[in-house]
Amino acid sequence: MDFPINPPIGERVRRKETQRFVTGTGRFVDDLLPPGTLHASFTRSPCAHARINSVDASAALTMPGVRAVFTGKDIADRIKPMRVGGSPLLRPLKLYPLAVDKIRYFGEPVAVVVADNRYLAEDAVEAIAIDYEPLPAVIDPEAALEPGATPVHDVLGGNKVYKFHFATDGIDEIFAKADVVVKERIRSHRITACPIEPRAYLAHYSPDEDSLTMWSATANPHSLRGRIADVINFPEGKIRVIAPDVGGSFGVKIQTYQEELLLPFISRELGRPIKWCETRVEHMRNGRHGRDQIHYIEMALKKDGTILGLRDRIIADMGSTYTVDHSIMASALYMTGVYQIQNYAVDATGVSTNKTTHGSLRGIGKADAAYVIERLVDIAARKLNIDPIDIRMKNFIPAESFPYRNVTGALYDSGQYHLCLKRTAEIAGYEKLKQEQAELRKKGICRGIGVALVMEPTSSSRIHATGGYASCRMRIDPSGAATVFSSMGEQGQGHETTIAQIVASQTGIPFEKITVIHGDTLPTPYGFGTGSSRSSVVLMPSAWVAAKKMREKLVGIGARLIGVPPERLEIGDGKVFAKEKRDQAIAIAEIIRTAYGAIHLLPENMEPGLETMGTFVNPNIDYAPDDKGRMNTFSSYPYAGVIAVVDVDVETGFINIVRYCTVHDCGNMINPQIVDTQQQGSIMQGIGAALYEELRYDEEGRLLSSTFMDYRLPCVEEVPELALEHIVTPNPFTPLGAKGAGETGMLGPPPALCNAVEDALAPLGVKIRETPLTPDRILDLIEKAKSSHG
Amino acid sequence: MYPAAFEYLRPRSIREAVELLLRHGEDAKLLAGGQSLVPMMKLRVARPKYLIDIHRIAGLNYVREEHGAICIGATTRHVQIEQSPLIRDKMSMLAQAAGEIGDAQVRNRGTIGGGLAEADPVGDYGPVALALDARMKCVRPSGVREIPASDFFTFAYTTALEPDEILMEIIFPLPPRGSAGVYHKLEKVAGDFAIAAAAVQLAVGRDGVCTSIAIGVSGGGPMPQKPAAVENLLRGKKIDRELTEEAGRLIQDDAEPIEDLRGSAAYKRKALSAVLRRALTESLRLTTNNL
Ligand SMILES: Cc1cc2nc3c(=O)[nH]c(=O)nc-3n(C[C@H](O)[C@H](O)[C@H](O)COP(=O)(O)OP(=O)(O)OC[C@H]3O[C@@H](n4cnc5c(N)ncnc54)[C@H](O)[C@@H]3O)c2cc1C
Repeated sequence: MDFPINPPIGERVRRKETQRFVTGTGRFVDDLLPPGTLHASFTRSPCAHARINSVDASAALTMPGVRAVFTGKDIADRIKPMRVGGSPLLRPLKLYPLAVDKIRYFGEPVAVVVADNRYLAEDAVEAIAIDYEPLPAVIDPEAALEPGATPVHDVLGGNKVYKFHFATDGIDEIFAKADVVVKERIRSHRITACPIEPRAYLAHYSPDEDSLTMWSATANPHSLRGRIADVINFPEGKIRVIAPDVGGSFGVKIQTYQEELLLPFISRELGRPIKWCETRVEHMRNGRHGRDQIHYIEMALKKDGTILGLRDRIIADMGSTYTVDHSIMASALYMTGVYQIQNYAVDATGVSTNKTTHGSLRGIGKADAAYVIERLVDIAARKLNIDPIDIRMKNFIPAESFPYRNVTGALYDSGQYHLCLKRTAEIAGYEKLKQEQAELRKKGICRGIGVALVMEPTSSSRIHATGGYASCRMRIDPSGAATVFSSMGEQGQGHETTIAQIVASQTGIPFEKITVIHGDTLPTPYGFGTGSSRSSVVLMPSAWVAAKKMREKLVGIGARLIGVPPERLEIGDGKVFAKEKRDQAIAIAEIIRTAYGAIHLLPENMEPGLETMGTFVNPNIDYAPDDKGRMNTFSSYPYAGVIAVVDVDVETGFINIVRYCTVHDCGNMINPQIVDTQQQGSIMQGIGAALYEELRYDEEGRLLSSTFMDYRLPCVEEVPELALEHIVTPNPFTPLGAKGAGETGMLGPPPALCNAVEDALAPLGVKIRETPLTPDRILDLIEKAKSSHG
Repeated sequence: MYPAAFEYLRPRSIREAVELLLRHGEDAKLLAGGQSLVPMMKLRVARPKYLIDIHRIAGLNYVREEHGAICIGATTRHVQIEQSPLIRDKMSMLAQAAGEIGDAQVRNRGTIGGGLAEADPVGDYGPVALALDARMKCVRPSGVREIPASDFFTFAYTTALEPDEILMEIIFPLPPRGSAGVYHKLEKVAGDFAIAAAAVQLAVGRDGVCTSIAIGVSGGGPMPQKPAAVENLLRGKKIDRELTEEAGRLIQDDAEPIEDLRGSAAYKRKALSAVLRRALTESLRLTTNNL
């Protein structure tokens, strides 16, 4: 296939955004303060599960600077409940922005105080007297499913809120006849994304104009606009949502939050701008959490390592006020990973517990699947005494089978898994590593080598949830500069740069003269949020479509002006010129002047001006399951081979990553520099998930890890020696040949590091089934293994 | 992260600070680098009505050698201790400990006086102060006194300082010539508090026999400790692998660690043993090189 990868597409162009961020001149919600702004603060539940007997705000209302207090009861009959979105398989719930009669998780907002400044608001929050009647907290998702378990939502009766089943014919016979069956319980633990900027909102209702402006650190401005309109019953056309600079999302800012819907309501009630910027503690307790799945998984194999079938039972902890099912759906549909496995059965159950709402987080659900399958393949290899690379090579989907229809109906666009892992082994020096490992073992040093090949379904489309398209509108101004209006905002992805690269490549307008406007619902075309690594799969092609139309227009006008047919013209050096006779040319500046000012010279039927619109529909998507329940909800499938080398300190349980080697394939890269930095950051986030980070609840359902002292993120000193390479297998379904590039990095470390640590401790017979790999957990496993070996 | 209301006071001298402290009693808190106090105020765990900012008082920030000791003013920053040529030369383990505290931002602002007064169970100065028999010079309305490190830490986050008392100076007697000191800290990620830490100052003779030993540890309980039993075990004996192992076992058996998200009590016992053994081995290597 032929891809229009002309410069500056494909170049390491420096990001337009970098300057303002590194010089501290970015503008975030917290930098904004319209005159008359009031500040909100929330009373949050100190327990995880309780009935609210009463809320008394009378004392708070008399405190200095306090303008209003709202409780759940105050708002429940005045606003509509929030929607539980994304799937007919989720049991519906009525959720309000403030708890009405029952608390369902630690930190849930119960009341909101509005005051002249945040300090006074916080003081008043302490004065609100709430009578709670504690109920048993439902924390363990397996216990939550047992008969007689306390229900988190009374109206539902039980805690099972989601059910999905899929099975191919004859799966049981396959297991019955297999040479070997490996069977494990593997759990992915609960983490959160920790963007550097927590959530931040500023709602400004103007009584004069009867209109609402909402500044939000959101990754999803257009959807938010519709939700606000719906919940507070206000015309969507009178709402403008603006996401100014946003300090990271990693998924957690793509969904709508209760505070985000409440602030517009309050602003409208009081006729004043209302601001609330979340603290880190609030974010840890209320921001979306991710992972937290238990898998009872079995794999049937032949003695030679050929995988015959896979059977999984998933129990996913959805938290209390679950809103989407993407996590569990993605795990269930993509468990077979990069392998030719056409016999598969899964039973997935979503459970409601008294924990924070589960939702999007870089690699949602797909990370769980990649983790579990890449662990299981390794465990099988060890059992069969086959090299972990060999067993993978034996079962990979071969390059010539793409596009490949997997067992659950997904159509993988393209891939060269064999080549990728081969190259990873080369850069890691795999054979030499094994020799070194043997020598180090003799000296008592526990070195481990961990292999994984992780695949990340990207660019999802679910009905009414993530949409299936993106748009860019562009204009060339009479001065010759271009402005592009993007339907998707950015939170660090570098769209301002990559969109400009595409437009420059197509239209010949210099990169420096292209401005990208995003995150504002007023000037930008409608579109869904930035997530699922969708930008390079749908947004960039939409910019390409808009720019291509613009190119056609420029060339068309040029053709008319110099009397050469368009198909013989080329754009370059600020000119439109004839390919064979370069001196037959006209300056683009002249064409632009003509388009605006001398419209009698335009080709027949051409509209004056230079504005175009490009929309790109997510290719390769099936919205509805077929009669066997198969569907394809993602459109592109990047992947990465990983070899991690670790040393385990058997006295302290500490893990040192000696080297992390990875070969990544996201198809064509619009800007390899941005892809590299996405990978690096993503890999570090994965290392954090594997080794350090964990959201831990106590038995009463209180979150213990509510600050960065208790939820440790890796920092620059934890960055290992990183070898990062790319291979390029273009995505045949998009005009740019690009696949998603934001998440694959994060998928690698959990399986690769677990495999490496298990390999390091293999002589002791240590098995890793729980994460994170904290020193105390590792040392405990070592000691148990030692004592059981006598 | 919004503290309750307070009044900010900025005395110009120690004397003025003492007066303010006397006047406001329990309602007041001294503010030094603010690296422990301010986060606690932001979480509203600490709610002083008055903040008495001592970190601008002239003459409380210094490092000097006097009468066979290194004397450090209470508001001397962690970074100054980490980088002081005098401390690096004569008491390297103290510079090492200061360099292990938090991250660069914390070290630029936090002070040694604040660190000791805060008495975090796994703060980095505690083990060093105990190992080297530091003395805390304090002032209060009734006069000046010195508190030996061994009496200073009374429980987690609790010291022998009276509510109206200000720590002015920390006096670290110079370790014996030829001895070597090592501070070994086990931390989950860089910048974290210790899981366990050991400060060891050791000297051996040409025959490898321990002529002087000073140890301080953290992670074995609610406050840092000076494990006299381990010092006694090692003193006068040849320090070899076996003895080191025994020292590790001894410290482990005596420890009663607090269980938290950094590890279970059982784990911390082993971690403490490991850091002590490593600090011993490393200081033995260094002191042997000195011979
Ligand atoms: C992110 C982070 C990481 C950290 N990591 C570490 C670490 O790894 N190791 C470590 O040891 N510490 C660590 N700390 C704590 C840090 O060392 C603090 O600087 C120190 O504990 C307090 O010193 P300060 O000068 O900031 O005191 P402040 O916070 O100002 O005061 C602390 C307490 O001491 C009292 N006080 C201060 N000065 C005096 C005085 N002269 N006399 C009497 N009372 C006084 C105050 O009233 C207050 O109660 C960390 C802190 C942070 C924020």
